[in-house]
Amino acid sequence: MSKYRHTIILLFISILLLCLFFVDMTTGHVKIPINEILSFLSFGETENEGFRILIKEFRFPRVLTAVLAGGALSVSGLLMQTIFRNPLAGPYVLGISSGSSLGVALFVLGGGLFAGSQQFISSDFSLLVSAGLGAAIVMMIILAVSLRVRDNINILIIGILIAGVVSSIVSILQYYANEISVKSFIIWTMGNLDSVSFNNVKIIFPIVISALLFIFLMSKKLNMVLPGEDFAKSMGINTKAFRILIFSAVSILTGTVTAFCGPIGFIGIAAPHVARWIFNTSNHFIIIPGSIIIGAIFIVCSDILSHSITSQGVLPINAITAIMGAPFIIWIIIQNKRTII
Amino acid sequence: MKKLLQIQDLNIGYKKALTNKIDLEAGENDFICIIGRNGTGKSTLLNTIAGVIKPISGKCYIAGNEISQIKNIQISQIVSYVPSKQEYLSNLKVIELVSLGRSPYTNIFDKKTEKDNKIISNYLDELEITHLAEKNLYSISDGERQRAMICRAFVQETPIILLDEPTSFLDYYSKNKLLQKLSELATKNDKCIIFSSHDLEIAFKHVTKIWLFNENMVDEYNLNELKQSKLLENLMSFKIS
Repeated sequence: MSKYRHTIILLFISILLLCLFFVDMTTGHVKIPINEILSFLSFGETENEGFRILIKEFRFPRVLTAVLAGGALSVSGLLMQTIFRNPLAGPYVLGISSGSSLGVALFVLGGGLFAGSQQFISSDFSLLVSAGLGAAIVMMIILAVSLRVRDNINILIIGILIAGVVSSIVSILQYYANEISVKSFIIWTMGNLDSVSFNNVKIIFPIVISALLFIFLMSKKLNMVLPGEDFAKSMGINTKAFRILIFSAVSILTGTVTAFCGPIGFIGIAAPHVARWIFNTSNHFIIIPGSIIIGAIFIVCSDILSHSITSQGVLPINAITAIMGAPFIIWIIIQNKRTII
Repeated sequence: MKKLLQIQDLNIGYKKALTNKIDLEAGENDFICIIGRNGTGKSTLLNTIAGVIKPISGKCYIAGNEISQIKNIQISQIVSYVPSKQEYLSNLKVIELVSLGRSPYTNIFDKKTEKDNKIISNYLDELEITHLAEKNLYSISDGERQRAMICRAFVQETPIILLDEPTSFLDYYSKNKLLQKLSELATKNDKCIIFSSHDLEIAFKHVTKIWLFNENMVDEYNLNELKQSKLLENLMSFKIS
């Protein structure tokens, strides 16, 4: 019976996401009629050539990236919460997003500082690598700690401390960097889906989709980790190797999204909680697809709001995700009276 | 009687050895209670046999194979283990936790066969928790959660079942009931069941053997030997009635 319930909810939120996808496609400086969007998505052509370029180069990459980023970040958060058995864990809290920031800061600010050139910034690949490396380095530190420290609360504290150190380094870099590179870095930190190009999506899409697919195939093992580490070991899981595997996947997901969209906070913590609340289970076979869709809905909604609240420019997506999501999560926690992973 | 567990010159512990070369054996139909003071190493011994921690030195053979030689997933088909720590507070439903017991036998998508489902519902019935199946783990009592975890171990259908203080959260009725069930499994289904407990009085009514932690040794006794030796009286001021 509950099996059908989960399928129905999944179907329902998928349809909701699809609707929001189209709404977001029409939202922006230029309102694009829905029939043009439909004809672009089905035939790759539109009546108005201007619309075609606008959709292909700006609108479609932006909205698709929103969906992918939502899925990637919420699953990263879910995995951290499961592995650390702590509802507070997430890529932002554990300093993984700040790690990407440091990578990008070294690249954008340091590049401006040492080479005196802005050309590097336009190189997507180097941006991706520096953000991914930054995430991976912080991940490796946390991993090394987590293999020695048994208490998960301590790992969380260490994550917060690392995030602090990393952001201090970033501010020192900002202090010494020139104005132009500081500005481009600050804009990047606010989170930005508008600068993602069609070529960027060609990189983001395969990475995120294959990582998510891989993680879904790990659902059974993730479920076995839920009742505790000793239990997982007695079920024959090599918990150390499994941690390393999951951490790598999270670095790839968070690093990729952060490279192109900036450090988007909040989704990683919020979406898995909403998913657990809606589906009333922690079973990863259900909660992974659930978190992906809910994370995507979150960011697409934020994107719509960030483009429609003000007529001038675009509000930073980071501000919207928090303002929109925080009250919702607080409400869920009050409803549940406790947070559970 | 088939030998299932052989322990030779085993030293257990995390960094420092808690024992000095213990030798023990267990086989089918054995129903063994591990007793001893707090901190003597009862949980550590169970953790070692379950493969959760490595022995400091010595050998531990499970179904004829040295434990470090057994592939990860195979061990979960030979030994099932109920740790004492109640870490398993999560949004999982009781039925989902219990179903994890079948995971050593299912495919990557955890697809259960009709036989799997039958085993699951059968043991839910036997442990009298069928009515809790759809409840979330955080919403039930400690004792109910403990029964769910034990049910998961039964569902795993392994020849060896290890339980660390399985009676700690249970009421008197459930303690008796559980030990009776365990005793039945050992005698009728040819299982080897080893558990630790501080509920000596109830445990002694059911078990066939006792492993006593005394200083840094572990020795096997039956109830009569223990009665005559007066070891328990000296060790924990407990008199066997």
